[in-house]
Amino acid sequence: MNFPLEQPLFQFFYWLVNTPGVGAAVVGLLVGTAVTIFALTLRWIASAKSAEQESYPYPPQH
Amino acid sequence: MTDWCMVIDLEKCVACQGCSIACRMENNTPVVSPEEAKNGRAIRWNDVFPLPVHFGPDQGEYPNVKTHYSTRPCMHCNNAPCVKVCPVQATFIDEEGIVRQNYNRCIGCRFCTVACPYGVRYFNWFEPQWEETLVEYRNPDQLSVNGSLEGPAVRPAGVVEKCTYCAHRLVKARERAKAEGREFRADEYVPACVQTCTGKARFFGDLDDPNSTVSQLSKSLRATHLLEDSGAHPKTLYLAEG
Amino acid sequence: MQQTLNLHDREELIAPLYQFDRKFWTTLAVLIVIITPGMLLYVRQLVLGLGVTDLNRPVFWGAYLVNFIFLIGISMAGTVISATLQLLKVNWRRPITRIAESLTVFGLMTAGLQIIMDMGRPDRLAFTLIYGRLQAPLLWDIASLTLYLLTAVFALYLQLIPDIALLRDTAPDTAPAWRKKLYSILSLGWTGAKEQWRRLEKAITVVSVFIIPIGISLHTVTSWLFSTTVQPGWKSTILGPYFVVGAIFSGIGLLFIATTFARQYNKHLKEYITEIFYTNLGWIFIVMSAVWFYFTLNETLVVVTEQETLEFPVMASKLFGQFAPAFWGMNILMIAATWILVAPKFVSDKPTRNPLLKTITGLGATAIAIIIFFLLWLRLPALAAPAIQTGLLIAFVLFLIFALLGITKWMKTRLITSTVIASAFVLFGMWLERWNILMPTLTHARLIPYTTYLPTVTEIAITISTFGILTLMFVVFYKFFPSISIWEVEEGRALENKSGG
Ligand code: SF4
Ligand code: SF4
Repeated sequence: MNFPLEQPLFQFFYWLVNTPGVGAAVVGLLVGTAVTIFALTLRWIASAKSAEQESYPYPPQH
Repeated sequence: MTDWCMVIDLEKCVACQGCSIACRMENNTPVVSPEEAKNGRAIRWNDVFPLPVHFGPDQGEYPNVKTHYSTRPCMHCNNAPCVKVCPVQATFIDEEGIVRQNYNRCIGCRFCTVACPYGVRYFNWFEPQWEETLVEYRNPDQLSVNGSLEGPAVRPAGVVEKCTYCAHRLVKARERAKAEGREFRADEYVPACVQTCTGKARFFGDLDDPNSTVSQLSKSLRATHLLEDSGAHPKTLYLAEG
Repeated sequence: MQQTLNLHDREELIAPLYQFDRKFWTTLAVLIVIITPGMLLYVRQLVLGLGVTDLNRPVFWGAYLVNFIFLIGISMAGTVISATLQLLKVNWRRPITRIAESLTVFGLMTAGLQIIMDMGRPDRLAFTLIYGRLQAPLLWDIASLTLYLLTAVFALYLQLIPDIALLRDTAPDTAPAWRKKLYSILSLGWTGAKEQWRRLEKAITVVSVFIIPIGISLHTVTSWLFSTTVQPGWKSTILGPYFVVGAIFSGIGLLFIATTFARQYNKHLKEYITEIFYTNLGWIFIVMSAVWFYFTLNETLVVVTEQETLEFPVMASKLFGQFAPAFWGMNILMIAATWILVAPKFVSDKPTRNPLLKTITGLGATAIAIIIFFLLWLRLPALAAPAIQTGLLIAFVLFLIFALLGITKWMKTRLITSTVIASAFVLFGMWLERWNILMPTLTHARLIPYTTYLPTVTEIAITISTFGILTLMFVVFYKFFPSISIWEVEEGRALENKSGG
């Protein structure tokens, strides 16, 4: 059986793995997503300024 | 499409190492000191070595001695492991089936040298050096497309180099044909080792042309590849001895 | 917040952060002395080229790559301990999560450093990002390493936030202004409100869930660097899990050493990091060693039995060729480490009459074993007869067993010391294991005569310097942040009180 490299889909796959820069884009995407998620999480935590005066030195037990 | 290929007839090879030297002069291979060479740092794009590799030459008993030698350029594999592992495409297969090496891109990670089953790739451990007079005899040719640096161009330290089937000669032959206003013919281009071969053991040509010498030879019963089981689909053909 | 803080903690954990005493400076000086030669030699390597090492053709990779895998391996500590134990809500993890997570970050940083040192053209490092090709396993490794490093830093930082806020609020008046400023920026305006805690805990849980697969992916991808090539000895499908297990194994080893180092450095920590941590994590350590032996047996036995033309010479060089010292050294170290961990569990701590278990027997047996080892090693012509050699070998093993038996009792009463010894054995053994995976294959190329590789001064100095840098990061980091997660410990106490009272 021959590898179906004549098919456009597989040609596209090959282009994807073989083109310099695509890997860079993927790494960039991964890092970008991760950093964005981390930054948003930090903002989400920091923005929790509820009215309550009470503060706890460790997580309050529910 | 052209598919350049080399055929080596081991029956005719006399192990004179002429190909090795021709390659060295053609491709500006740096010379290393004997100590370095002993430490496995010698660079021979085209190597001639005794077989079997690991247990020394098979001498036999005098006077019935028989020694086997092999010569090894790059196999220009169709499924080249070296190309697959290079993270920056410093080594790549061009449209005509030649595996080329770009010295301006290589980051020196040496993954390709580790991945190549044939040990064809060499690393520049130091800045290449030539003894005074030798510098004057360096080949001025080089191959450079869009900022790449290939072929006999002098390599910087820390990059990998290897046999390119003298790809710069192909470019030159094409240019000559163009300047003379005629069609380029496949037999206008041969690598330096093929040109020099003492025993006329090397053949070069287009594997896709059914009438070329290499195509004819590839149908020979003696035709075989080196380490056929490596999975790399090597292209350089050998005609087995005996 | 100040009022509710346990005053004791403040004394023991926060006050030392501001004491730049003699001990700190001495440690720093010693570390710098350790690091400098390697750095100088690295500069020399940069100027002259990689030829200053003993790397050659076909041994294109050497000690740097071994260090790289090793450092990647020890960075598993944070993932396993902190994240897994966190998710399992194990209580004794609390005092050591911080150390575990920081080890991950530092291990990954130094691992990245090793790759740069191994590159022929470090000035072209950015090319991997500009021209990165997806097909190359090295790029998968870069992607995985970057992601793991980012996540590890994030996880460490999340755990730190409440403690940084604490530092901000409790900074003594004498503290330098920039430090106060640093803490106040890094604390992100943390007030300890209920809602903030709720969100923080949620975030920590989510990160813990995600960091485990990311960590495992990194170790697997690192093994793929080798197992995706067609080289004999590397073409193994179990290399991935083997690396993961080895990583957890050595990660725990380093964690033991690091916590003990911290305990010795700051005596107050002894109250927080108690023996229960050594006992409980020790059990996981024992399990990992069993799994490791299982994998090693798999790797070895299959190749030895099939005796394939290309694979077998590689294995043979490990069993009785040039890599035999490294291979058997690794096995002996691992067996000894396992013994040190397991054996004390089988003896009682009351004084014994059994002569086999007396320390003096152990010492004597060790001495005899060493003498026999030298007799074997010197290959004296008088003892060259095969029967005598075999006899000596059996005697050697026998006396080693006596030695191990003899020290059992001694170890029983010294849990921490013996754990640290076992950890050191495991770390060294794991370094050798990586060496044994890499080197035999590289020296047994198909079409190049078999060669050898011995690290030169450059590689050795750079290796030492790398571990120096790791320690330096550790020491400096814990001058700025408490080495115990204060809030987690507090929470643990509260939970205990609740269940107890
Ligand atoms: S012989 Fe080696 S260097 Fe040449 S193409 Fe094949 S893998 Fe690459
Ligand atoms: S050494 Fe150069 S050519 Fe070889 S894989 Fe690395 S970057 Fe590519």
